[in-house]
Amino acid sequence: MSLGHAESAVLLGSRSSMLAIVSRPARGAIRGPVVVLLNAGILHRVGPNRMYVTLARRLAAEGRACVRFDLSGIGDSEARTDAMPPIDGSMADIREVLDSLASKFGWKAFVLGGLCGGANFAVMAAAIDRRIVGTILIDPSIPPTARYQRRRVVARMVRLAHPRVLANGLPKAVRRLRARLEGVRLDDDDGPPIPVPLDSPEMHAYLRRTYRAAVVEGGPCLAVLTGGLPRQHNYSRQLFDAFPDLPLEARTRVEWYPEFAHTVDRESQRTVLIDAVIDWLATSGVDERVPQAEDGGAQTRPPPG
Amino acid sequence: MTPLYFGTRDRRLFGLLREGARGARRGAPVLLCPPWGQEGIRAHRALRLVARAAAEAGHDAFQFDYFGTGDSDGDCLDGTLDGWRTDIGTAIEELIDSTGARQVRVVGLRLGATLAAQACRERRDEVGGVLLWDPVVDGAAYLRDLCRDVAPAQAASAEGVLDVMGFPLTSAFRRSLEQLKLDAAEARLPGRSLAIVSGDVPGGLHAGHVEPCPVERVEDVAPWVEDRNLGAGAVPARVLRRIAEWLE
Repeated sequence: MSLGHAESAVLLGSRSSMLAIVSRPARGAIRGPVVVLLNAGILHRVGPNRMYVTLARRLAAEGRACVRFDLSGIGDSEARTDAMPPIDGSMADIREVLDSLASKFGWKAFVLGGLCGGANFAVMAAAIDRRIVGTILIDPSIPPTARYQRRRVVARMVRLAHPRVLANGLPKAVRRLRARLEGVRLDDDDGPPIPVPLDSPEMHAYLRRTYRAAVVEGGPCLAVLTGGLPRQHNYSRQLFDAFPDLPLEARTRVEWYPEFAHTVDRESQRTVLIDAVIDWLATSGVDERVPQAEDGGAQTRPPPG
Repeated sequence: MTPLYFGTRDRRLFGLLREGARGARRGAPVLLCPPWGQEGIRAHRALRLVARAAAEAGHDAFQFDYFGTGDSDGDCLDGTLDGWRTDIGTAIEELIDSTGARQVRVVGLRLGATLAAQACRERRDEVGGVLLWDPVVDGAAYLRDLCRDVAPAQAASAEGVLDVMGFPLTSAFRRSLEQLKLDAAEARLPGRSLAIVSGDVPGGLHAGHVEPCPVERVEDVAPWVEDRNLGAGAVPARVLRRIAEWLE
């Protein structure tokens, strides 16, 4: 039964400079950890195609609280006034927002989520903040694997073999080959460029440490992979194969939607994605990771260590 | 800045009021009327910069979302053009109530400009001027441009909901867009109004069109068009400067 939703707008952070919308059930207590949604790149808090708004209201109707806010300098939030590097600044923003939510509402456990850059920030924050008991990652950065490279080559060969491509695309293919030899990246129908270079050993090591801390030593993860970033991932198990020595599979549910665009631009597809998020929250065990209330309420303690 | 909800219980709208800088000359408060759908998402940061610049110059600036868009209540399918014209009127009243001003100025971008022109024609006492930023003049041409990536057979379908640049469009809404026209005789805009054209825009204002007010051409990027796969539009610095001049 839907509980309906109620929304309020608040300013969060040490300077009350970050605008947030809090969605809660219209009736009854909140259950489970609070879901916090991070900006998808530089899009403001409504999310791509207003997806975050729809997700937040569906979560509230299910009895959960959801907060979507603008990081400093994005959307309607003011920029930071210190000299922190951008990523450090975003991590500080997230910490301040969680502090504010704890102070204002008494909330102590959170699931962080986001799309693209928001997904990356979510897993990075989860690696260093134990209040984050789970993550929802939509198209996070995943290093390439051998299987990814093989599939990419095959996909290109299939595309080039199409009669229309042969007729129209041969000059384009020659141009692409020349650009590749010269080290120039072209925008093309392989989708948007990936935001960070993922094939360096340093980046791989960093992501490995992050996923170990955030998921293996932290909380459950929902990874939603679309077919809209073929330059980054192109099969469902790529996250597991990228870090074969990490026991990610036991803590991670992967939803693979090859027909979805990166920003999930069809309403029917957004409904499928949101249904998956709601189901994962109910079945992943994150609800059991909410700290017990000080008054001895029914919430369970998180597992030791 | 002050985020707030206004309107009625059944039509709750979200707004963000940026107070004019203390010490700066206090001019008329400014209401910003955004574009629809994907154009609105892409242009959000440009409109934020307009609001911020207006506030720094001493004008209270009010951004808001139409019902069924942004952070306002309602689903995407709940939006209607008539409803959004009403929302603009509600936002004008809210801005006057919040600031104690006698009159406001209105800045509208794309569909927001068209709706602002139509909503303000009956509010000449409350609205001192409207700036139409690349308004939609011909709704049918605008709709064709929005639907350029939709399969022709789907677009021609009389019934059903179309996903148009990520947003669902009902057949009723499409019909209302097809009938949308910005007519100079109807507009009757206040005397300090201005239209800005920043490029060749399908369904937009061109030289020689029937003009509801003076039209200026300002060569600049279109903030409602995606910039470099960022999902957001570029910032039109020249247009922003012209808007700041108009506010003064």
